[in-house]
Amino acid sequence: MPSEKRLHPFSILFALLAQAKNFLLPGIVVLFTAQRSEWGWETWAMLGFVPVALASTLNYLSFRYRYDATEMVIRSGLVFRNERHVPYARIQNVDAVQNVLHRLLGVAEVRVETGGGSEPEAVLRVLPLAAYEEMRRRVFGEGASHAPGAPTADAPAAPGECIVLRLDARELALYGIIENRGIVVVGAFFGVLWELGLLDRISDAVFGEGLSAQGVIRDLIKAALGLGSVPVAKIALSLAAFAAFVVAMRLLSMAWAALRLHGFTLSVAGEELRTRFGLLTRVSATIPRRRIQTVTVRQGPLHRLFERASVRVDTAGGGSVEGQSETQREWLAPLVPAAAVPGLLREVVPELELEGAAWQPAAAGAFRREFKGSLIMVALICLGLARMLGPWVLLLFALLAPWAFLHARLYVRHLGHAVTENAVMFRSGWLWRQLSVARFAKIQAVTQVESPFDRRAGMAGIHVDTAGAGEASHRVHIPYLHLAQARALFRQLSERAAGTVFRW
Amino acid sequence: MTEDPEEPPSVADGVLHRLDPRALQLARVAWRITWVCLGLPAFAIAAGVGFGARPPGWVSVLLWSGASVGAVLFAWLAHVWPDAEHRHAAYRVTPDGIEIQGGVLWRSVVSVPRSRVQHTDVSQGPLQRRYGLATLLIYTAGTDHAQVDLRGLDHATALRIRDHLLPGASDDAV
Repeated sequence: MPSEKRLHPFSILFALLAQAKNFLLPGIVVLFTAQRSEWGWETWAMLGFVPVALASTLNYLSFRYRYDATEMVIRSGLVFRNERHVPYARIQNVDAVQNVLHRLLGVAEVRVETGGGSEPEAVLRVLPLAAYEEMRRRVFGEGASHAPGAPTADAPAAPGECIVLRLDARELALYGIIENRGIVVVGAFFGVLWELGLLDRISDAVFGEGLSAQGVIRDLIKAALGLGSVPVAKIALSLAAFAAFVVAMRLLSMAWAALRLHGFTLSVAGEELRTRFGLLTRVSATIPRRRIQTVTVRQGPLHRLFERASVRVDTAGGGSVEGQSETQREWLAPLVPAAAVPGLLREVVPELELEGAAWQPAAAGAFRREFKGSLIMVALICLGLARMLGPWVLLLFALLAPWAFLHARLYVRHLGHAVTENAVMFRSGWLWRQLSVARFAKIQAVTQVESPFDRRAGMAGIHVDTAGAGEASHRVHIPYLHLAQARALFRQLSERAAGTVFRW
Repeated sequence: MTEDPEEPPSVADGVLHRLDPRALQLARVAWRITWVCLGLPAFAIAAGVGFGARPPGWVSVLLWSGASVGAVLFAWLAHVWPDAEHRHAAYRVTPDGIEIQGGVLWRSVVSVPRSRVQHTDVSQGPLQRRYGLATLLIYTAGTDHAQVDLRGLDHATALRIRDHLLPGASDDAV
């Protein structure tokens, strides 16, 4: 094959760096902790780096890929040779990830994902940007090409590509406030400290002496029982600390959003959607439109306050947690004005009509069943607690019962499903509202379920199964339907699904 | 239903079929085997412990009565359940796909369009072979229903349904 290609020579560097990360952190710890014995076994263990370095060089030398008429062929290995054929038609996404170093050197790590399996079909570490562009062109056809140097977030849209959503600094700050990712930053920070064994020292320095707010709850209970004075100073201190904590978390979250999602753009070019974002690590992900299995719109209380929503999609490729955290492909739109949601959905699923949909509510008896269920749950929890803590917990029941009533009322009020020209929609949740759309062409199976309780009430539920749904995905599982209605829906959905052809 | 008069009737007749009567016999036998292998030893152990306790106070009475009630309940279940399960199990093959009903307390009807079938298996266990039965396994690209199984089919019927569901195997346009 004349057109056989290699990786970029910098690949060796990045392979070494990736390995070095595994060696470096323990290495630093070794340096910090074992200064006395200069040539201990730890230092010798560091020599294990040499064969690893050799292996990554050999890997680079043996790695080849080429584009055939209908498939991509990747060959690798010197001793154990491996030849992988990936048909273009099976490729779900081609993503590029660039961290700071990648960008300085003008290269990118490219991931090729197919429908099967939880990890990318192929990871090409690393390719020059021009090669990434070529790969996209080859895999998704000529229409997919655009100007070289693509994954620069601030670049103007190439001809034929139209930007659907761009998040500026203000929106990102808002995103940080709404999503509260501060805990992620704190978690990562503590993780590093833990790794380096510095956690104890810092916590000693911070909390070691005079944590004056300690025991505030105990003091409060004492005061309530008339055994002590109300600890005003302590309460003020705790409240201030709590407020500071909340504010700090939100600030961290905003910083995280600004860093991670910097310059987020979502654009449409022909039949594919592209997202690009990131300040330090820049991600450029491509999702062919027909590979989208379901679309979910999510709105929490804060979203509603700011009149925003977030939109995510499930594709069949790479449902792994790791892959998602790297490319964040599921965020079609981390934050979008609520009014713009129908327009955005139409970009994703062209034939979708969100406004004109005829929403069907849950069956009339749904509230009674939901309330009864919540009440029984609350009662069981309270009884269990009462056995452990004493009968006064039953007071809690008096508080939780109205809550169960409220929950049931609102939950059932916000339940709904709608069948449009070519999709089924389902919405649920009242505090965190979610709306999912599954196109008929993406329905894998339809199930009508009847629990004993359903049968007693003359009801049934409909579950629509699609590919690529994750653990936390909002599924189209419609509860509380009248039996006749459920049957009709079951029949309708099965027929409509059978009338379409599923393409990967 | 468009059927050519000269060809044998297609499996895709769109009629709701019960499972093979032999499947009921097999289920009864399987339940009895389970009862003998699990229920009886458990009963024997509980009874033995109750008998061996000394002094034979209320604990042994409790164990005795519990074990006997449990064993009888288990026997009753083994007698009733296969029939109940058989009564509620059914399938329907249409030109477009297959529909499988099942479940006694929690009932479900799964419908898998033919165009969504990724691949199929027909498997036979040792007992099933004795009765000439088979299990049809249908795989889809879905999440909950990545695998749908239909047990208790006559082996030849299972093969015919498999051939019908196989992508591109029939004259129907997909």
